[in-house]
Amino acid sequence: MMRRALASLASLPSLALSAALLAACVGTTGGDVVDFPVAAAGAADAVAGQPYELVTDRGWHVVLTKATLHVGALYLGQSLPVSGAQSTSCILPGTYVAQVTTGLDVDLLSPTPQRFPSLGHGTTLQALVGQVWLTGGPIGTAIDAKPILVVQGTADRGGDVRPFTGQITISSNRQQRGGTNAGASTICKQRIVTPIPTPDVTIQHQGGLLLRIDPRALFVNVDFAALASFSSGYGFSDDPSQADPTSPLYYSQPSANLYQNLHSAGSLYRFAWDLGL
Amino acid sequence: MLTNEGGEGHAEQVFLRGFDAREGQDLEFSVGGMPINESGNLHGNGYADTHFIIPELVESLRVIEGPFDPRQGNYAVAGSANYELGLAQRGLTTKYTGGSFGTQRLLLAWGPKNESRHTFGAGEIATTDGYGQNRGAQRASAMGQYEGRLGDHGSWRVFAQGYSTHFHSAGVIRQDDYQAHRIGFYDSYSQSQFARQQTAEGGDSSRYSLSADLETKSGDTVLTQQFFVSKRQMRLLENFTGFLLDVQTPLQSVHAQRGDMLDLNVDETMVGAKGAARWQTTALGHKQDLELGYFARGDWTKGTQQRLEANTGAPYATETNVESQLGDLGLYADANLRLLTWLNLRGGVRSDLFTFNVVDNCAVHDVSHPSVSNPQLDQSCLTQQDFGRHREADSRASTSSVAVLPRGSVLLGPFQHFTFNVSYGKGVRSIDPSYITQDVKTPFASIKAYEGAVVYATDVKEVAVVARSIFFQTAVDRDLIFNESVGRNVLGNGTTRTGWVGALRLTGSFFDEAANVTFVRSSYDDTHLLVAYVPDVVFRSDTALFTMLPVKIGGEKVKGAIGSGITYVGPRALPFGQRSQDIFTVDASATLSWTHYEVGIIATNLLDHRYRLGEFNYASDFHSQGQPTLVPERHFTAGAPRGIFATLAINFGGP
Repeated sequence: MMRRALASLASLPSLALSAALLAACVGTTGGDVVDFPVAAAGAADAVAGQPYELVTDRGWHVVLTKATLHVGALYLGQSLPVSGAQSTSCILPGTYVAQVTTGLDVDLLSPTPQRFPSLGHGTTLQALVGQVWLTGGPIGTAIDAKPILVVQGTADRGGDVRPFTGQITISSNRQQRGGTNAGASTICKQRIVTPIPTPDVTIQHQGGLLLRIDPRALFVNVDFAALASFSSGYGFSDDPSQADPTSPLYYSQPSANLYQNLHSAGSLYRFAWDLGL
Repeated sequence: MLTNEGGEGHAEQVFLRGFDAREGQDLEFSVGGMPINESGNLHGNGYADTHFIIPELVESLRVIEGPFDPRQGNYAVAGSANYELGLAQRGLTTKYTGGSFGTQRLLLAWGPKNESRHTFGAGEIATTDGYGQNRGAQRASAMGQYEGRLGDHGSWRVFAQGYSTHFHSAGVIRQDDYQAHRIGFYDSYSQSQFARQQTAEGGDSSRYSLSADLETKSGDTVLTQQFFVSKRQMRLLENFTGFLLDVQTPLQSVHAQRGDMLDLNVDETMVGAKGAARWQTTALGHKQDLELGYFARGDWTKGTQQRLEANTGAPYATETNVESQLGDLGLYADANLRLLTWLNLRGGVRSDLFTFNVVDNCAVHDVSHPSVSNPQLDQSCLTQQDFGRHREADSRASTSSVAVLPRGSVLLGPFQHFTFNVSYGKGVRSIDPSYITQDVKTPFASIKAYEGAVVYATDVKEVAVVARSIFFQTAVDRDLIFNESVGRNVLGNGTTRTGWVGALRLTGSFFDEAANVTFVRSSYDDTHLLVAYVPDVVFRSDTALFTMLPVKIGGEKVKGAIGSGITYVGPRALPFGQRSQDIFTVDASATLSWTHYEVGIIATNLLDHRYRLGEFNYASDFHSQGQPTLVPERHFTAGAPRGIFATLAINFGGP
């Protein structure tokens, strides 16, 4: 009796095998890796093909006829920079959830999303902080001739009309002096804008990453009255070392503030996950 | 099943019962009873490198799956594997192998006809360029053993071996770089234009050991005693992440990423002994066995890990510098009680004391508030605390703990050739000394394992048939998980593996077939997510056909043999919900033997299937793209393409 009962158990493996087969081949380690479209756009209220008008906090009425920004790369991560601890680090340690490693010249006068030439790559995690890399080449290279920001337009306040141009590069002109000792600033830090908050940005299978760049934020606290005088109008200087007020390249308040705004992680850059991309 | 993605001299990766023991840490390995898992190995506590074993000397490989035998000690998580050595071909043998990838091997082996086949000497020297880039290797191994008689019922053996190798390894390839044709499938970043390394990946490994054992019978008791000592050295150069981890810190001179090449060095000395007394008597009409035994092992290890600058090969940071004194003393009692003709109880209890005395010579790497006036710039091992207060660079921690490990099996049968078996056992795996803190209570991972098995054994005409069906579950409270940043496995959370093993062995007068398949689900106990890198399905088949051919040369018959090995590894779960590709390879061999001569040909990966030996998902930056790559990406190590090797062996003075 006992032997028959036990012998009949021999038929159980086929049933259990089926269960094991089913159980073995399902499940996940969690999360996913995705490639997704990435785009950048200018002000949402701009009209493509037309100049963009804005009024600055200093009361200047600005009509932008050209505004392009070169974005070299984008990164979204989960590690907020800690003051002091990584004060000299260009690439912050931690977990990165998305990257775009090919550049794009963004027309800031167009509200239409402009696609980066290649897809972004990421993991389906929530991002906490974003980085915009303003570089035309490797982030640490000393010389980078690529114009990062090009602006052209007219500013007027109370009848004081100032047509202006500006072209900003981040090359040896932005290298801060300080040698190679600990704590010295490196050129890469000038090229990386961070930490840009990324509320509600979670990488997903559907949609894409949209970086909106609002040109109004470029001209916060920019005093157009102090622009350097060029032969054909006014302009922003791209040479921070130029301290001669008589020089057309004189690096005065508007030039310094335009660059500071460009480098600020404030309201100029805003990341969003756009299901329509 | 074994694979190797770390290079010729790197320990094999082992797949057994759902464990992905990267270097054997989940298997208790021994050779002739001498343990070879390396306690205190910085690369992986329990690292087991079997490359020193000369294949022609392997008489048998006994694998015990699961921790159900009280003789099994540290590292018997998925099970144990013991190589017994012997030389079947007596006389003097020379064997030369040459073939693909510039591979050459010379073997000399000898075993006097009138001595036991456990008396032998053998040595091999081998060199290869390896496939693809940066996979060259050279190695030599020598082994000798003498077995003598001890009275009418006893024997004694002395064994010695030496082994040394220098090898290179290609490392990982990013999938996006491979798909964009920035690097080839079999290439190595070490030799690429964008991530060239002055010091390429690879390493060195050596092992020298002595062992002596005796076995004698006194009355109804069999006594065994063994002594062993070994000296190991290992260097591993590995770079999984390229140029990612060397971030600027406040106390460093300004630098770019200097490269993540790991230079790991390990120096180990092991001394140990084990012995047992097995008493046999008759009760209840059956033979009954009771065995008492001990195991004692001490390890003195040094381990350092530095990062090397890619351009110069110079070390720029010391991450680890640890010296350890480790002890493992175990006692066990094992009984084999045959209560009825169809009821057998096996098992007992084992208890191990683990002691750790660890000196971290580089205990402090950073401080929250460095000295303002005299900061320690560019120093790896600091001698300052907060605000510059002095301290020595080292720190010592010691602890001990006892593990009690009950194990048992109930066997029912045989009934009409079927035998049923249920087993339970607790196992243990000591943890890496680098995790030891003062008086930490459990310096080991605990394992609980269960299995239920059915074995069918019979003879069908002249064919012996053995089939096994085993359901198992193994829970580990602290599992080992691969971490690319440190290039090795690190302690993770608890996991459970549940699965089924089916095995079939058919042995006939002219053939031998062994096949097995494993299905397993490995998941974390807390999240129930899958454990990465563990394949759901593993299949292996080994077939051999051998016969005397109807051909005579000089009046002597010619013996022919062919064999094949088929391997299938199913897709492995990868981090971030990914799945790896599967692996399917076929190996084949053919030999002709005539009098004292043998010629053969061996084909590995006969179908030349391009496969990925290992796949990973993590962030790396090999400078292969315009901007840094910081998001996890698929990486792989390339499996070997087809290799063809010819052998010629000549025997003198053999039977």
